[in-house]
Amino acid sequence: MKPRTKRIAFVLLALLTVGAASALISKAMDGNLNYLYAPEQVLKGEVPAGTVFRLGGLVKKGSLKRSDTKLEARFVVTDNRGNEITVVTNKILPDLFQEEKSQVSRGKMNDEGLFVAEEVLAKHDSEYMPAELKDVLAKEHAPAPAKVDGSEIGKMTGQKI
Amino acid sequence: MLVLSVNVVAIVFASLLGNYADYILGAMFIAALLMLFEPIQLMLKRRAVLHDIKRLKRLQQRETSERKKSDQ
Amino acid sequence: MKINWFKYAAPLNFYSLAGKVIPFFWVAAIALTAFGLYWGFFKTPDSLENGMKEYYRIIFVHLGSVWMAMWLYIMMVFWALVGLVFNTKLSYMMASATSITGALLTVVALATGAIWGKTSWGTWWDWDPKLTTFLILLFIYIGYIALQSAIDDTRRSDKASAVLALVGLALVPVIYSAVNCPDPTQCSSLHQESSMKNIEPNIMRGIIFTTLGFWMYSFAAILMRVRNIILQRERNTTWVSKLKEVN
Repeated sequence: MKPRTKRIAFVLLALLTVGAASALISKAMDGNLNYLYAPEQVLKGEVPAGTVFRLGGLVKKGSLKRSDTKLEARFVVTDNRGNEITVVTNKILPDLFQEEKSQVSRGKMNDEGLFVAEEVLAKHDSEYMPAELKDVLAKEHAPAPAKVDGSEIGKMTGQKI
Repeated sequence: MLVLSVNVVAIVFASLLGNYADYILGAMFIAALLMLFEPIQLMLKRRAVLHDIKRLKRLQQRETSERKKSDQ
Repeated sequence: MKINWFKYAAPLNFYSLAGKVIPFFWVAAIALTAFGLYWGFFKTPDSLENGMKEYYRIIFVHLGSVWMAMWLYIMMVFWALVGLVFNTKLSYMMASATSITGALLTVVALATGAIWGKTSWGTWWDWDPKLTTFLILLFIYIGYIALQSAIDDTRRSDKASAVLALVGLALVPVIYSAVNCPDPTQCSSLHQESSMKNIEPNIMRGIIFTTLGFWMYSFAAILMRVRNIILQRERNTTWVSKLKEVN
């Protein structure tokens, strides 16, 4: 290869990289605005029918049911304000997936109003506290009231999901 | 390229083992691999650069001595 | 004591100074990282309140590399700017030496993050705002390195890549704000926020020491590389030919 063609190739590579970078920035900005939808938004019909989207929210306590015969699980995603959507999936649930914890699943609504998930991910917070300490604290203090008050809403739709 | 391919192998390796300890080891392995690769590469590079400079210097010295000879 | 800082802007003086301090940075890097990893593995709880098991310990290599990848980008732009303003050869060399270590640590951050993501979230990769912006950071590093090596005339390549680095700087705040924006409903993501509250003190100590270790590592590697660059660019000068390394 002539030095000049080499230089041209390198310049093109640099341009390509920058182009990819800017394209991805816009993609990320898109995702920033609607990376995921809360159950309320879905129930209001903000998601066009038939599209694949991400559903965020808490797994309702006591709602997780695994099928005895096949690899299928059902659980209810809630925002603790009465907006609930039932998710059905035949994928393996991640280790961190638990009731009353945040999850993000990707899929679409079917005709029966069920969310069929192709992928179920668990979300966690950035509080790195030991499990034992939490138990001790919980015993010391009075049992925590159920988290259904309005102050949780911001967290519900945001970071905690 | 080498680093990238080793990376991919390490990730596949870690996923095959599937146990948490191996995931941690996988992550440590990748970090250690890349962070050991860099200083080794830098030392080799230094040797090559110094070698180059020495060669250049010898070449110049030979040229000047030959010129002196032809001048005489 | 008054130190004449401009003395070390001359490649000749900086070359010998860097040669003297590199061993100390290596010792510090190894000691701090080893201590941080030891503390992180043996003095921290095995499972966390948020349900994470042993695998959360990937944080000790993940967080340090994430922070250093972003910090080195800022340092790279700093040196590039110094070069643009004062037209000093050495600062461009520093910027160029920083870029490769920065890119490498970005790869470490992405790889360790992928492994952690697989264990906790259940996926290697997701087009989450934070992950996507961090991938772009890698692309910008690669773009800078490619541009630098594309132009043979170092004076021109230094300037061109400095401008690119400067443009790319816009991304660093985006990475940070991709999760930590003021209105949480506008930036919901898979990645947890980067809040430093509520971290168990032993975990925190592990994070701090490994991060400091990675920082010292960056110093050592960058100074080693800048010495190579100095030798390459100054090979025709008399001071290089008088060095004891080449005699």
